[in-house]
Amino acid sequence: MADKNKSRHLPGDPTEHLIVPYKFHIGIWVGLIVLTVMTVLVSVMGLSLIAFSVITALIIAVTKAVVVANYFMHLKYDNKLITILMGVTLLLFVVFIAFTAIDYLTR
Amino acid sequence: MSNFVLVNSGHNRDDEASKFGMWLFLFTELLLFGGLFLVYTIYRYLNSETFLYSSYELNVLLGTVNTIVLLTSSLTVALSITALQKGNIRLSLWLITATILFALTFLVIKYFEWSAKFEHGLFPGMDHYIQMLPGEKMFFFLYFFMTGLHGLHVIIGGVLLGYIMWEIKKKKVTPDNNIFLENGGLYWHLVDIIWIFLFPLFYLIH
Repeated sequence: MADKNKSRHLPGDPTEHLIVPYKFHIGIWVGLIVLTVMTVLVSVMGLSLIAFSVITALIIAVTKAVVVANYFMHLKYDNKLITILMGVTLLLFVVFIAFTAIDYLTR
Repeated sequence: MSNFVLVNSGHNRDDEASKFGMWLFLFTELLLFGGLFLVYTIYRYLNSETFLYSSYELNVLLGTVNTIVLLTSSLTVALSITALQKGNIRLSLWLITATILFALTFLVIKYFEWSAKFEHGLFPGMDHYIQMLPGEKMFFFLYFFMTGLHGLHVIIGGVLLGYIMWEIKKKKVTPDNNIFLENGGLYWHLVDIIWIFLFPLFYLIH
């Protein structure tokens, strides 16, 4: 927690945010390493169902990205507007993919 | 008249706005790489078999090690922000140094990977490359372009963190004024997130 004696922020200043503890970050890191090992094993073990391993790899990658964004990048503790804008950006990307796919899949 | 004092003169600080600015920049970065992932998706759909066996040329072990290196560097930069906020400047500087060393490790491993591909003539325009099937060409073109652009981001991120260390030493970035380090950290995590997607899509698709 920020030192209240220092007059860095005005009272109620939204920039006064909590300090994420060391241990918490290390726990997140362990989780990310486990997910990495999982995704490599799924691929190297040679599951013959290609589509299955691609979907698994993507699900794990998305999970890792969400964890990094939420905890390492503090998205969970910051102004919710950033999260909303992130959603808008991702929606934009989905629109790009969808419209390009509509074009290529119907040729 | 004479004792008029301008309240809050000088530069106003707005950490919230600084962070928003950084995030807006990161969104443009996501769309930059998003466009490349779109190209990858379409060409992989059109050449799924050639993409599949081309991916066997890549070294899964080196890719995995690099993933772990980048994840660990993300941890050290996140810890350095906590350390600075808690007022432990020395620890914060050491953790940023560790992050930069991990960035260099990543680049050295990448150098060896690329060297092996160059020896096999797989770089666009080389003798082996020009004889390959269109799908294989597209795979290696995208591999070099996307990992190259990502590598450039690693270099920029490392230089940025080095500059932030300098600013901490000059006491311009302090425990009470740490938004520059936080924004540098955000950039570094973005570099990590992009690699999180590059790794399975190029190395693990078989």
